[in-house]
Amino acid sequence: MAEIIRAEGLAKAYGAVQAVRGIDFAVEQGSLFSFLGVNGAGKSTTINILCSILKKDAGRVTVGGYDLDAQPGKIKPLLGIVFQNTVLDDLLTVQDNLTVRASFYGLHGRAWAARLAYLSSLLGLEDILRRPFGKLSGGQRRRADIARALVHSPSVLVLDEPTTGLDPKTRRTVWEIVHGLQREEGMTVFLTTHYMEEADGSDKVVIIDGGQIAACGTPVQLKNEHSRNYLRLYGDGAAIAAELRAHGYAAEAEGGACVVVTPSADEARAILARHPQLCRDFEFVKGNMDDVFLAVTGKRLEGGAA
Amino acid sequence: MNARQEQGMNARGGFAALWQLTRRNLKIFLKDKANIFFSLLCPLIVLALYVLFLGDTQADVVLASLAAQGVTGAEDAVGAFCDSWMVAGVLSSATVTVPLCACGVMVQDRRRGIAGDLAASPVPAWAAPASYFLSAAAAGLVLSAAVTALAFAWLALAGSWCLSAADVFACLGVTVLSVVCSTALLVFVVGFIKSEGAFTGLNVILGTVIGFLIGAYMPLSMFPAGVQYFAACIPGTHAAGLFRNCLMGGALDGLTELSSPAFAEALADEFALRLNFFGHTAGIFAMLATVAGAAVLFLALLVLTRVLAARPARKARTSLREEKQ
Repeated sequence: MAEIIRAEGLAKAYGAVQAVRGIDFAVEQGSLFSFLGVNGAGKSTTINILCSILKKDAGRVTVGGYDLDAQPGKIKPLLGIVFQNTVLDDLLTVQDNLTVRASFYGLHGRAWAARLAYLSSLLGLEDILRRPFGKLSGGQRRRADIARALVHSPSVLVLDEPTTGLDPKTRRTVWEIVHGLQREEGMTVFLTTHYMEEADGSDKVVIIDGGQIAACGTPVQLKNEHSRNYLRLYGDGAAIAAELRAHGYAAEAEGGACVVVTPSADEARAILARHPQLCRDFEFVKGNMDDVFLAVTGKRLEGGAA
Repeated sequence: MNARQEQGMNARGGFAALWQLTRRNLKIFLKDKANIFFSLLCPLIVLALYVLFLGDTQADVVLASLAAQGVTGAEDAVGAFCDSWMVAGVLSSATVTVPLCACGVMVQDRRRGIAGDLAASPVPAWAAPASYFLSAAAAGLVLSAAVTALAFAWLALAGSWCLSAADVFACLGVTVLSVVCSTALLVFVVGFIKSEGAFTGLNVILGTVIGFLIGAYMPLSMFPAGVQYFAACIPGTHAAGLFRNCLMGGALDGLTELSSPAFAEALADEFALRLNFFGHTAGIFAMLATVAGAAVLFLALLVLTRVLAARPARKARTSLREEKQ
């Protein structure tokens, strides 16, 4: 698959604070790419550089084959951005808001009317087009924000923490829309998030910590490399753990149960087969992105379990 | 974006975006009813002060001077003169305070990160600042036109209408000039304001003080010389002087007929139809030149700050290119 975004040695400092410290990454066309990190890790800075909002201090960025320094004008139409905080105007209707933004891309008249009709049906905006943006619910506002990002049919949809502050139901709706765009429209999605389950659904995850890339790969690769599967055995945790340790397993009592770290499902199955009396009630737990994140950064993500 | 869209964008440059952004800024201003009220607060205070007590006091003073010269029965002419003076104050303060409030969108946009959205879009860098200027000027013109219509209706209903067609057109011309001048100045100044708190502060201070400085609450001649000189350094004061000449000329002619040219001259000085600029008298042409000059100066400064703001970026790109070579 072709690369649509490539960054090499990207660096940016705010005074003495080094926000991004020479990072490299590549985004494949049509993929869902996640930038995972805590607040202040450098996610938004990176996005702002890609989108020509901030000037980088060093490094090279190409988007769609164009160099960011030489041809920012060619790159801007390729990117559609959903900002962390909305950039639409509360007092104007959704349609007025979108029409103003469409003019930035030379869209007007019949071409814009057709595009607006398409976006309305795609994002379910028909009922809210004529309502003031400020009067909409959180989910409706987010859909309008996504419509703003899509006015000019960009190749890459950039989302900067799109679901932060939304309730779980709205978050799911937004997520379905984004997934739909990627699957059905073949759109590349570049996402920053601090939600594990969002990163888990991506094609590629880059974990950024302190302005540096801590880990990079598909969620499966990351989980295989940085997390451990374990078997949780219910019952008298301490007694079960003591017995398993006697058999040479790395078992520990945890919260009234016994946890045995098992590198693979095969090993877990072997324990279950060999010690059925200890494994009357059990659970096999696969390592998740939370574990990966903890393993590579030593930090826990807020809201990761939400 | 397909090739046709790209071509269209290049051909039209940022003018479509400029038009849409200007409309957007203007709509945001006009839809905020509270903002409109506050933008017209100063003109309303001028009106209220005049109706409640200043009007009668002024008329009494002029009537007393006329009585001392043996002129009686000039109540209507004096009333027309004082009414016209008040209307000039209302209009001249509106041409400053309305663009000021309309500049609020600039500060709001900065706080909300709209500048980021613009920077990420293929819009020329001049489009947003130009749209702020055009929308503030348009807001000033729209509301000033409405205020002018109401003021003229007031003059007609109060029986104080002494304007010729030429006066009306001159008044409209001065409105345009004054709005352009104060908008250029204010967009330039507000361009440096980063927080909404600072903008509110400026709004409150300027909204309160401007009525005094341009001599809308009371004639400038009532202030000490130092204050008069300071006021004469403000373009708005000269614009107010021009408004007075357009609106009070007819009423002053009426008083000249009743009294004497010397008395009319004294009144013109007293009611600031001419300004005291460090001991020199600034007449219509001096005031016109000052307002037009200030408009050109601040427009030039606006352009200059844009050019300077764009320079470091260009320098950074050049140095990077050199580095690569």
